[in-house]
Amino acid sequence: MSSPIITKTVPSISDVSEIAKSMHQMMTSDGRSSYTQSDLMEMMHLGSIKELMSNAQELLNKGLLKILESSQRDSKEKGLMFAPISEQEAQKVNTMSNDEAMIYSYIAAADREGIWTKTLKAKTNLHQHVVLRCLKALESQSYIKSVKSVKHPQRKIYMLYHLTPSIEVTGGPWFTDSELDTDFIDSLLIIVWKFVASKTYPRCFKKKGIIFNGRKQYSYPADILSGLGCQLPTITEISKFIAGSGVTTVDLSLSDIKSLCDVLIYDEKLELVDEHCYKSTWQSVLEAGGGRVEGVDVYAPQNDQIFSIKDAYRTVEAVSGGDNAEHPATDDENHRTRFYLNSWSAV
Amino acid sequence: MTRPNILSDNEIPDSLPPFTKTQSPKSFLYTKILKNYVGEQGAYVYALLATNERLAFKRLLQLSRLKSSRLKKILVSLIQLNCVVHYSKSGRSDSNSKSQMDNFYYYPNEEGCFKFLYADDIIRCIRKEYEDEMPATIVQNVLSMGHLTVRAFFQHAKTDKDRCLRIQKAFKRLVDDNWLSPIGKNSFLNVFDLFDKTFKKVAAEYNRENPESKTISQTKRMHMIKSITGDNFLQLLQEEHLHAELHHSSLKSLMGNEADDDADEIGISDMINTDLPLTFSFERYLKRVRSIHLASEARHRIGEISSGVYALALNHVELRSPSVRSREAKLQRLLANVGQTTVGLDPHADLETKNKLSLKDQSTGLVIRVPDVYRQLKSNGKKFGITESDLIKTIYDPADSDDIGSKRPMNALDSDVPPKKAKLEVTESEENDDIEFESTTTTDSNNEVLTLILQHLKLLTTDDNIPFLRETSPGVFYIPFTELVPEYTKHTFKQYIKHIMDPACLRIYNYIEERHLTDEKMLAKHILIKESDIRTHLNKMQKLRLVEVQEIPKTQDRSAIRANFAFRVKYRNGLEVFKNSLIFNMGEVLDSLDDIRMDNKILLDKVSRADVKGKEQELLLTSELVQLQKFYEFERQALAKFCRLRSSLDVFEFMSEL
Repeated sequence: MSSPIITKTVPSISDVSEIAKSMHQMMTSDGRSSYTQSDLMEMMHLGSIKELMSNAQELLNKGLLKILESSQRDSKEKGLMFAPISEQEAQKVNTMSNDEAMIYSYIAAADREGIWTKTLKAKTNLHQHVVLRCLKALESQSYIKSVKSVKHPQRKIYMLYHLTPSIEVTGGPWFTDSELDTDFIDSLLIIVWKFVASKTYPRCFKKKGIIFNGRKQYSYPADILSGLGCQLPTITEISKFIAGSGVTTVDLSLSDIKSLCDVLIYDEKLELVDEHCYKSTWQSVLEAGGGRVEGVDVYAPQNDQIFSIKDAYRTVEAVSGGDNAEHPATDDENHRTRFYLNSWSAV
Repeated sequence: MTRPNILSDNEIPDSLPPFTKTQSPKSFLYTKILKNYVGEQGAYVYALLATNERLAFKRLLQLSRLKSSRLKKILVSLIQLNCVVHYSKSGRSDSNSKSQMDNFYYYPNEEGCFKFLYADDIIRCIRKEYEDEMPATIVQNVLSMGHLTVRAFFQHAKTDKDRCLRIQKAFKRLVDDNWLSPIGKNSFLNVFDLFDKTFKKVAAEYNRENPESKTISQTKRMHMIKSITGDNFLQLLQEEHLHAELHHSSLKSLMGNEADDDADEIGISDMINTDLPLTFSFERYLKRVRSIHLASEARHRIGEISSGVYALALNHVELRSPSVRSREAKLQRLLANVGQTTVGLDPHADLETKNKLSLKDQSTGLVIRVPDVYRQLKSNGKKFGITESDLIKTIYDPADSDDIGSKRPMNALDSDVPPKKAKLEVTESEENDDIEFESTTTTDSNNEVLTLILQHLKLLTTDDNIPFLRETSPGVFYIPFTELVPEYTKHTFKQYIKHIMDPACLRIYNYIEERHLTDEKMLAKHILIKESDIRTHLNKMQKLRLVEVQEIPKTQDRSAIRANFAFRVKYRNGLEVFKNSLIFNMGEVLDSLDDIRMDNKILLDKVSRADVKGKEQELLLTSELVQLQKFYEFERQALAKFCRLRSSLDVFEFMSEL
């Protein structure tokens, strides 16, 4: 945990001593974000702490260094850390007013997570008008930007202009402009399901979903679908397929694929087999128009079968199809004709 | 047609009052059905009993305001049809006092109503089973009379010897297949009172044999009494003495000496007792319904042919399969309410019963082997719409010539891994299961069919969510009814949610069920639906009690504005609302049929006149013909609706618990 300590800025940076300048250069070129006192002593080969402090103070005065407070994990004691600030950054801060610089430093400290205006106000202890004025000024100079958080859509969150918001803020690959991209998700769900279905049932989507050679069923044997010889796809295989197919340019991690599979399980389109493989349900294949028997009309009445709600897919199309073209039924009417549960709301 | 709930003095109830509809969905449906069978007044008496649960004759007379003689007739009819049961006030069922009816309490009984509710399907089922009209006629008569003796049925065919033998043969087939069962006096008594009486009797006997002075703790004493009560009560319900009496009569008494010779000729070794009243066994019908539903489920989860094979397997064990409504489970519920510490049904006792029943599912008589299914295929294949040729090439085989040239889909990703050759041969041990059978069928095609049957049976074991079959040892399967049926019901319930409400509702329901308790934010994160949509769906589901809301306060003052709301599902509550809604809908369908019949009464009366019948085209106006066609169309649709709703009731009413 670190929190910035506000430094006073001075107009020019060329006035610092040689040692201080070299210290700054070494700190920026080394690439580390922060240094302890002993790190700096070792790096600069300085004889005394006093010498280090005078140089550090020099840099601090010019806004080229900031002091961070660090707390050790196992102790309550807090230590000091020194973090270099690039020359351009220092110049940028130099041009700001004190209030703006303070607000800017808090926003910079919030990093890719961003900071909420209310938190900013509480931390800086400034009046709301002042905070808003500073934010407006910084935004107009493209030093900071406002981002929408998926977690808290109502909050106004600021972060440095050049930073990309973190996944927590953007919501990951499922969000586009902070909105859940349902079209993208739905198409990915279909792709994943279809891939698993093609691995669970042989040739289920060939020839417009009609089972070939007039057969009434065509399935893989049981030992392929379960047990030790199970050849159903795993998350890794699904992920490989998605990456290889080029259906999306968005990088999807294994956990993203897992969440897609989970959704398909909640939809009862996929099932988990042996805790690591996925198989698709036959019902989902039937609903998608697959697994049809040649010469059998799906929408014909099934006099020899008991009524099953799972056969609803056989009537849905018929209701909205050409038969009622003259008087197209509304959704509500369809609903009632199909299931006859019109008294539900009254119960 | 409705009328006020309260009747004026001396008014005869000729139409059903509104309370029959509003008091409960079941009352609405049953009174509608009874109205058609026994008339408005019978239905009204049933509704009064349903309101009060238990009524003495005098009180019933007071409430119904019917004439005493009329009420007696109605009660006798309803008792005969098993829609009403009785129990002696004094606990003695054979009371012989002057005014017998005053000594009894009367209770509504669902069993008789169920038989009427399913009457058409029962007759259709029997006709399909025997492909003969006689058994169906017998069952139709039994259903309409409640119960019937063979002698009573003989009355109208006494002179026709051939017909008598045909009847006797049909009765025998029905009794052997358990469609008809003997009925004793216990069938007309209230189960709770009968149980209570048994318990009290056992307790008194036990306490007499083991007086208080003996060192038996009260808990142990109660445990012993309950155990003996359970055994005695089950014996009472089974009425074994009636089954013993079932076969010892002959036709001689009825038709003279030649009848016995005829009986030998036609191969009826022992006749059905002509004086024993027989009733239709609804439990047996439920077994058939369960088989049909499970086979239909297999069709949607595994495939057409696997479903056919499963239907054959189900048919093989159907007669010996466990009851759909388990008597043991019911007994556990009854036992939970007796004794000094009534803490309700102990979940462990319930679990124990389930385990016992699960073990029974695996008993020898219920085991399924490939040759059993093959035999069923040969004899009943046509009935279940499956033939040997249907089975050929239904299982993927890498060596199949049809597949040569096509890419092996399972290995699309792992082309380095050699394809696992599917086991398509029956192993030696499996082949030896039925030596006698094997000796008669040795051809290659038979072997292929046997292998394919085995493959399909194995396919049925792969479903983890709905265990259609379990394989105990290679080639030996059993149907885990105890486990399977509740899973099937839950799955069907979820499918109703999906189709009636929205697929998104199913997604939400499944997620909440998995997490037990969750909030909107977690839902939105994991099921990838917009929060606003989730809220809309949750609202819908909440109305139907599919989900429940729990308030989680965040502040000490439990301020509602700061509280979080979590959701959970309660399957039983949801199911109950669902079932009641469906039952109510069934009542409404019958109501709409009554209404339209009333609207078209003049036309229908005209059509049913003897001089008009068959000459409708000539004697009716064009507008009347159009109207008549519309009426028939409406009736057809309404009955289809009714049958569809009833198929859901099969699952939610009878298959939801043990």
